[in-house]
Amino acid sequence: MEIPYTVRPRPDTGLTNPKLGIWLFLASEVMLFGGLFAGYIFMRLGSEPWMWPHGWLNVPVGTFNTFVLIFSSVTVILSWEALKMHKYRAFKNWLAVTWVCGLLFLGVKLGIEWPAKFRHFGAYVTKEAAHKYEKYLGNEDTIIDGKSVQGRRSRAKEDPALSERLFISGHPADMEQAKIPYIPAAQLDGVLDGIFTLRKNIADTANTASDRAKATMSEKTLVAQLPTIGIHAEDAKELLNAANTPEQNKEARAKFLAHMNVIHIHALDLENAHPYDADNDRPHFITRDPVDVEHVVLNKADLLPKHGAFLPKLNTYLACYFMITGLHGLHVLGGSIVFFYFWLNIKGGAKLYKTNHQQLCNRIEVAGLFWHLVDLIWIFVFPLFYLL
Amino acid sequence: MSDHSHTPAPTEHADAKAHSHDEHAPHSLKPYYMVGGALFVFTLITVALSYCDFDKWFHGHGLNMKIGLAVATFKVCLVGAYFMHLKDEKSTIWKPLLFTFFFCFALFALFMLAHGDPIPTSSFPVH
Repeated sequence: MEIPYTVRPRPDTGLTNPKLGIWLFLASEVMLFGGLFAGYIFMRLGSEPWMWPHGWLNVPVGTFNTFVLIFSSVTVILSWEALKMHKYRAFKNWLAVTWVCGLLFLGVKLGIEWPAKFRHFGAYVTKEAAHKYEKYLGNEDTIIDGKSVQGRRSRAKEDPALSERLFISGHPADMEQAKIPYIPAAQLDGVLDGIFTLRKNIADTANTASDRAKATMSEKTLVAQLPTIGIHAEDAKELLNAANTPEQNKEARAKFLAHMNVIHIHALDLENAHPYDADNDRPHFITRDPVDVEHVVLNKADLLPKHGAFLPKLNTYLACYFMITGLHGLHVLGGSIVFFYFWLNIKGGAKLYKTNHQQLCNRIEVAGLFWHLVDLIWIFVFPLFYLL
Repeated sequence: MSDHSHTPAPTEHADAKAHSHDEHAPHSLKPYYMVGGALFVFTLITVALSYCDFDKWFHGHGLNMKIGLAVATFKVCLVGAYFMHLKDEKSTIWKPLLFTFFFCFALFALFMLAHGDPIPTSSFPVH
């Protein structure tokens, strides 16, 4: 199908059609991201002061990506200018730099920034259990090397930016096990005892194949409940094979829960490893690695239910971060693909230089406008998420 | 857009000639370099400012947030005015954009309702 087109501005609007079209699209984009930013700010203002994360993102990497996007905004203008001035080689080179910058930005996000969050673990301790973890939180006043040192609670009275510390973070020994929520013993007993009772009933009363089939179905229904309380199929099988009666099964359950309901941390972030060091109160420009530690064990019963705070589904801040930077990343990918397409020596791309120069100029201008909006959104994302 | 056009309309070449004058044809690249440089510098300033504790110095509340967002807004204005040519653009474009920004700011203002707490029985945590 042939779509009619014109490169001349319309007499009624004084604009070319694609230019008017892209501006309407950009207006809708502003509303889309505006809604997301408004949601983010709303949640941030509504959160408890000690619950909102600060300094979780890598500022030097974010700054580098900001520079990459700003630089690409300049190169797309240089490409468009070179095209206008009929400098074909310069046009192609600057356009190539632009889409390479787009891919570089995405490479940093996909290769460095996003995966780092999934390797990290953090959890809020309940206020009731905070005293058990005092040596990682540093809230109470203490004596170090014969000197009296103020804890966070005392210092918070003088410095309103500080608050009681209830967050413990670092690298767990087993991330998959750490992500499983606390399993209450009563819940596990309820399901397993049900299965054993069912099995006993089958042995005592089920005489026909139909009875046995019905009982097997009932057992399957009960087993299906185990994953909902965080027990994997393999573990469930092992638990059920451990004994034949609920009484005999007790030891296996206790062992299982003792393993599942704790988190072993093998490296603690600096603010928890040295909680009385005031140097750790504010985030540092260069992200510092966690400190190796031994025997740091968090009991899952002492953590707020939604622990595993570096996972987006368990943390509002990271949900916003991944949502907004993910959507922005898709825009960067889309823009890079469009520039790559125009850069290729094909009919709808750079070949237009010879067949319809003005049309190619319009295309680069329109794609450039989109690219500037992507830059513009990042200019807000960077301080909001990384710095403030 | 006209991506799939195989044979340009007969008026196409005439169109191209008629449009050879573009109101945004760059006379000089200097403003773009300057704005690009300014954006780099203000990015560094934003990063540096975030390590200052304005609330403590000036006994204010949320000053870092306000200052950081003010710098970001200034940077965005530079991008819009120079890179996106809104400075010299026709009113057909920037007038509808005013509506967009109005509604966008209205959206941001919605969370002020939570601060005002219009429902007396609610206990929305405000700090």
